[in-house]
Amino acid sequence: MSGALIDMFARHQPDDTAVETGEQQTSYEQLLNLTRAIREQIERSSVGPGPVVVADDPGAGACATIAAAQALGRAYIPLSASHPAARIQQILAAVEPALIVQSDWTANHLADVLPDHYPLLTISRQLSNLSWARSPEPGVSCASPIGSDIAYAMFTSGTTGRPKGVPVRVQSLMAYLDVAMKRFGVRPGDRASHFFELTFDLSVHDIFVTLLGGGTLVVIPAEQRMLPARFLREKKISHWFSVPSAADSLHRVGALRPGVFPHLRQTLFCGEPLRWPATEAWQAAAPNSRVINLYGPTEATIAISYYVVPRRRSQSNDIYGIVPIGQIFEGQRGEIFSSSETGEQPSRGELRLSGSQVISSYLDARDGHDAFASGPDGVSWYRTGDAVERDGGGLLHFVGRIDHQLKISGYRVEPAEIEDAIHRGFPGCRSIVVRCDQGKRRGLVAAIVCGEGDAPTVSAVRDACASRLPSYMIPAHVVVLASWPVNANGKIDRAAVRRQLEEENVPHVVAQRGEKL
Amino acid sequence: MKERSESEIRGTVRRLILERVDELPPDDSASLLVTTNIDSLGVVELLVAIEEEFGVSIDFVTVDPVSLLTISGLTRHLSTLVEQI
Repeated sequence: MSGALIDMFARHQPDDTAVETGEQQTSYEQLLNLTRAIREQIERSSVGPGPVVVADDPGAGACATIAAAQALGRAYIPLSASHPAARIQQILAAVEPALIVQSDWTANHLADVLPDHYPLLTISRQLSNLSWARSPEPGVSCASPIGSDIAYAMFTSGTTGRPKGVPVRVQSLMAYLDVAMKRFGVRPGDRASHFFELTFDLSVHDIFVTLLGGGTLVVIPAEQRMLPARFLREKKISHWFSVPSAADSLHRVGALRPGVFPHLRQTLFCGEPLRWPATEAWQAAAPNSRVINLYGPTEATIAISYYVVPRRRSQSNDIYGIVPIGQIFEGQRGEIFSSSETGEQPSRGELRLSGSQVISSYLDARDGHDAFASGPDGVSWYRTGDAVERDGGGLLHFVGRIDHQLKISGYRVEPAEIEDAIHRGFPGCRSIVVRCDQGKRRGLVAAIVCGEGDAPTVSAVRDACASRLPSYMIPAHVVVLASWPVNANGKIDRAAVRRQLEEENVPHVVAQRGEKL
Repeated sequence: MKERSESEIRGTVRRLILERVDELPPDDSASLLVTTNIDSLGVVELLVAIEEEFGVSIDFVTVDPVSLLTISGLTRHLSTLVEQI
């Protein structure tokens, strides 16, 4: 199998560094040994069938666990120790894993969170020791809905108030890797960034493309991701992959000076619209790097379209100041659907995807209610919810969303899930969550209107969200409104709510500041 | 430019932070990202506002961004920059 990590670990130069986390360097030989040790622990134990939960931070331990799961024909499911207990338990209940692998680093955070019936294997921080924190019991096994045809499952924000499981098949991952290794591959001697959290599916690219290719995966500490210029230079990164926000932020603070990233040879962006000003500044800062814009929802396996950004923007590749998402990968299908049927293929509408990279159902089939559509030829299409436009040259351009979904640092956020969490905490209140890009309240902002009694404090609302949602889904600001702005049909006008929140001094907006200093 | 004492710098930094968060961090060495409701994009906007307020330019290519995530780190860095003007 072309995508078997363990086979490739054995083929790369044993002394080459596979994974670098701060001062800790793990060679391919060490990574291979660790992978074999994890595989043997699982094989020799009485662990039942089913997926492996990776409850670890990015690093050699997680890479070895993922490689061991793959070698055993088991799916992996990443879990973040920083997520709230309720979310972790929802995910575990949905996947019914055979075992959980943690590091002694994440074990402290998870001790009171994990239910006590899953076998739990701990990797020591120095990677030298494996021990069962909870041994598997013979004959005890759960029936997981995730079979051996699945490579990994990720959980994204769902409109139903609970996370939505996206199971990606082995075949889909292989199809992606075929394209990615050929077009954006990494070779021995290359130093590739590991920017993404394991719960973000773009991390699958970081790990597989780098380690299959024999390069060095350089883990970026979380607190460096915001402004990574110094990290990029110090670590002599040759292959960079991040959300466009990283470039936007570096551009905003003036760090993208011409020639500051001489070591960079390839830059990939994915997860959010890529804006031209930051892209041009990045091209000047990294004169030896080609820049590629990738696009794809988790449901289509990491990325499904690409655009190699030319050095010059023109009328044809600049619509609304955003870099094109380009063309669909060979072998996959993308078509534009519009509700106004003229018989011709429309040039603007919702992008729908089909092909070996695209999932055909969610882990919970109920989540797929609106997500899949059947074509006239019986083909199943995934509805991305993204509005795109095809230009005269055939390039696809991202235009916006056709629903309310938001993007926060590349993470998909369904406002309905946050609104549900607020409603559960405060049943008498209705909330609308939007993303503000102007004014002093930026990022996720929750507007609240309460029927009776006192409005909750800011900290109470944020606490209600923190008990159910990961940190990137907790509103940065909470504002109590006297009433909702409505449109001509009497419906709440989300755009008007956002405009109100972005304006500084709207008279009837009362900022509820909670317990202040 | 009028000379600013370290305590004045600290006071201005706190004011600029308080314009963007619900509550200041519990102490001056606590990370803004961990202890307040500001997110990474908010920190970037804060840093730009600080540069404008003090009329200085922080070199984000060489400075470790972690050192700019606390009130004491920011105050220390700005004291050096303001001295150089």
